[in-house]
Amino acid sequence: MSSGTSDIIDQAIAWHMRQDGMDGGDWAAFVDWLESDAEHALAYDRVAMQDRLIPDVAFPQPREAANDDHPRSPRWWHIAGGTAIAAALALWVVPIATHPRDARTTIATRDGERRAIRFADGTQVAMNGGTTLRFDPGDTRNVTLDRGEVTLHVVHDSANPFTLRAGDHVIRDLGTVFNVVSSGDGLSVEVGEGAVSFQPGAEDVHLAAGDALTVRGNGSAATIVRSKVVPTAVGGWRNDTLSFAGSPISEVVASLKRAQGTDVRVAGALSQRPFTGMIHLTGTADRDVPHLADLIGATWRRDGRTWILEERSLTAR
Amino acid sequence: MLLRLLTARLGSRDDAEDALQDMWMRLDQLADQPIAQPAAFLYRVASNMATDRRIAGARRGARDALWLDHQPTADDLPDAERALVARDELRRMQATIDAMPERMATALRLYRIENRPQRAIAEQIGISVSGVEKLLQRAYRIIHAHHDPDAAGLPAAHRHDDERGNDR
Repeated sequence: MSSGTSDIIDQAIAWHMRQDGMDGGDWAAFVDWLESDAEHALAYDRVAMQDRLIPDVAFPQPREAANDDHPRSPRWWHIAGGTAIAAALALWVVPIATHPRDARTTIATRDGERRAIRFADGTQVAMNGGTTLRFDPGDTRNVTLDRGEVTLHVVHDSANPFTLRAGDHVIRDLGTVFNVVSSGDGLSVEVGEGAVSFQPGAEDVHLAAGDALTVRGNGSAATIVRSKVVPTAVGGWRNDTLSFAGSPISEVVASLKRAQGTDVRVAGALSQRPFTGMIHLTGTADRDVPHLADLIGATWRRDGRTWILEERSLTAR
Repeated sequence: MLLRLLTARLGSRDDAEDALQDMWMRLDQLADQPIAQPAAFLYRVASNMATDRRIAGARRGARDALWLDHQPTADDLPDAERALVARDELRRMQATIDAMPERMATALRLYRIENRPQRAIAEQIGISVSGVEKLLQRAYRIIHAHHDPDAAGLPAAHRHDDERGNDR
């Protein structure tokens, strides 16, 4: 793009930044602007697409509290360099630290929405849609997964292990990349690299790369099944790839809802049928649901915004 | 007007109609909380969906959806290629943000990741609201410059155009 179009880019950025506060009239003006010149639409397109990459990037995190004695990320201090810069940083970090807030921060994504978090220690959490996480900003080594799915890249520190809680379950990192799904009726843990301890101190199940563990049900009625996964496929939802090994169709459908917000109802006994395979999502329900139906040998139909999958033999088709 | 917005963004009326239909289907999941400005909300959803589709189209490449009933193998190259392109984009974005002045990166993080209003960001980093706006505008400008949108430099947009054929 030549330098003569830089004004257009600035306009595109200005439109983009205004969007959350625009009313109906503003939107009409925006559409006029888009239509008035093909370059406008092109410039806006680039700005919007670039903007989507921003949440996937690790930002230098502000130190939440000055009395935090956890080791700081080495990268941070590289950037900070001399003490003069460090002091300058402290100045603008303070207002964040004193921001009057609940000790625990809640971060939630809606179905179909994704979010990446990077903690001060370098630990990264990729949140799938339909996910709620809670943590104390001053202690990001203890995180609670209320519901949904996360893939964690934990920076290991044996003196201060990273612990993820989900319902009654505790997962402790032993140097790790792992994925956790928590739903009302169960929990699933898959380890891509390193190892975790499931329920440390109690059952203390050691899971290494390629190990998976599924809990179904709650309390004393819970069943725990161990299985194997391909380590590189762990957290595949981040690349729109969903893998299943003997999972009930109901879980496949739940994954689809988290990842893309697609509502799929499974009729009858089909929902309990096990499914093994890998699904590449295109992001368009019109394609993904019929493909899934094909794969599991079901028929599909749509009732308003809900897709319905049915056993093929039950229908006239 | 929604259709006009989508047509302008997607460059094709067919795609726009398809997106609009998809949007109605998703709407009830998006709107579980009361909406103050329904019209503005719909525009925002449509605009976001258009961006979703542009990105999905770019990432998908020429290949259609493929379902495999086995684990990926070396044959699955287009996927690997696609992941590489995505990773490359991400690396570039990471480098861009790493190179930003701290205050700019903080403003961008508060604005884009934490969804703070510009007024709150201004208070937090101790500059005026218009200062925040300028800072963010500059941040987006830098991002745009680093993601060189020059012809061969943007495989995403090109793939998308190829894929759609010549309906533009």
